[in-house]
Amino acid sequence: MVSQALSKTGAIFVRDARCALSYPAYFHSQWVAIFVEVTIAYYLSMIVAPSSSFGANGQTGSYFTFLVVSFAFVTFQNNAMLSFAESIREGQTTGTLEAVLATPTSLSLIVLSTGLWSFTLTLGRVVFYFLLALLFGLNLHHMNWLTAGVFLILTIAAVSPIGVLAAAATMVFKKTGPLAFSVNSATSLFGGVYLPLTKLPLALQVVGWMLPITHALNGFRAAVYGASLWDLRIEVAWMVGLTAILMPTSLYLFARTVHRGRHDGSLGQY
Amino acid sequence: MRNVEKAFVVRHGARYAFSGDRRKTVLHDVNLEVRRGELIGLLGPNGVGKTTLLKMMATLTLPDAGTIEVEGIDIKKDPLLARSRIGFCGSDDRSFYFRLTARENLRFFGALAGLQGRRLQRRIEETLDEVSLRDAIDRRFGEFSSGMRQRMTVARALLGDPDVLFFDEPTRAVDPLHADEIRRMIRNDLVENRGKTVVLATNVLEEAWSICDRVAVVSNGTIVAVAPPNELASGHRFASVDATPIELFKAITACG
Repeated sequence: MVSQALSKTGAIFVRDARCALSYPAYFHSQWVAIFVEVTIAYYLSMIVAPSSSFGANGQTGSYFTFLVVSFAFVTFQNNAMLSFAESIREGQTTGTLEAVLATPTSLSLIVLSTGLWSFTLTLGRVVFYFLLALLFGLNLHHMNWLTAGVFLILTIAAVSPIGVLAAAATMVFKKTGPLAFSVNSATSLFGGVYLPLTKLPLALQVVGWMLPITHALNGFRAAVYGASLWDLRIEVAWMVGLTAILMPTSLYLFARTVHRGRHDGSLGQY
Repeated sequence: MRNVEKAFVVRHGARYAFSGDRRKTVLHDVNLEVRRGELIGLLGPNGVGKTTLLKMMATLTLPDAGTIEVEGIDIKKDPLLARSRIGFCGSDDRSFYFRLTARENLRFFGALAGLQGRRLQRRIEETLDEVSLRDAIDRRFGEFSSGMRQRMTVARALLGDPDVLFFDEPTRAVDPLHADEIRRMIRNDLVENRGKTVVLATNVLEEAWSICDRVAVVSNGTIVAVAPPNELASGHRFASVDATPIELFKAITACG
């Protein structure tokens, strides 16, 4: 049973990897885009003075470090928002979704495994992001690697349900471009990607505090300045709690949308 | 207690209607029993509900009323187990990954069907042999002609070696030579040699007549008659014994 589930997950991973690598120009251009982003972050940071708003635990931090962590980590959220939904959409337009759903494979395995390749690729991109940023002067001397690793895992776990919800929305509405863009942009702004949460009005700070990306960024930024997991226990608890609620909820909603598709005959429509 | 005498049962007047803004009853009062090792054809013109009925049998659409059992398994109660007994060959010949080769595509769908390792590899080669695509095993699916793509859908349905197979117009877009090969494979290899149960949706009268044990005539969303081809042809309801295929098809289309 477990070996069959692993085999199915592996097959979905290999399918996505092969499909992605079959577009070499697109694949390689992603790395060039990261170079451009790091360069933009570097030059933007030159016009903004270091401040305690950009640091953690009361320490002064540079805007460059703030932006690099933001840009790198928000790609996990962007990836979740786009990759799950894109995969479903592609399956609808090519007819592969029906073929996959005709197999004896559980819905949760299908939808969660869909994110595996893109999260792996995103992880590679984040590592590349940090390596390039190091060349531009990013300081990771105080990094608490354990905290950073835990927050990396928590981030992937916490944003995955958002991807599943995006996939569920695609099952129902078919095309969700503007909706996904709005949600992504709003959560980036309220989640403190571009500027510290404290710079936002109080009401928006409350909204931001509810979002997983806010706690992911807070945790990783604090890890850069050496914070331990104990220092960040509230962030950890929030992310674990949010994942525990959102994961089953999103899987349930996805299953309902597929059930609805089977009922109204819209499974293969696009 | 499972009903295992029949490989496939649709009972209690299965009904299906599109919902939402295109509300329309597609199927109603459908009842059908298929014996193990039987090849039954669903014959009817375009738009009478053959594909919807086949998709309903394959768990891809859910009936609003009635029950469907595959090898004694209620497809509503245990769809995953039911799917492990089913091979579905849809009519959409695009339903593969165009950037992947035939081998890579079948490796993916074979894994989802529960196959692993050497058995998966062996089944990929066997099924591609059966549909005469072995030479194209490492060619990208996107390079295939529509006839080759259609044969790939047949190969995919056979991969898991299921007990019950559903074919939705498997010879559509296939040249006469390969169409004949597919019919022979379904009749001789799958049904007679391996004892599989096959439900074949077709609008080609000669196809239904030449290979099916019984033919279920689908008209206006329901099954209006089920009988062996010779009985249907000689039956007064449809046409005279010496009717041409076109006359026979017209008679069938008009009924119900």
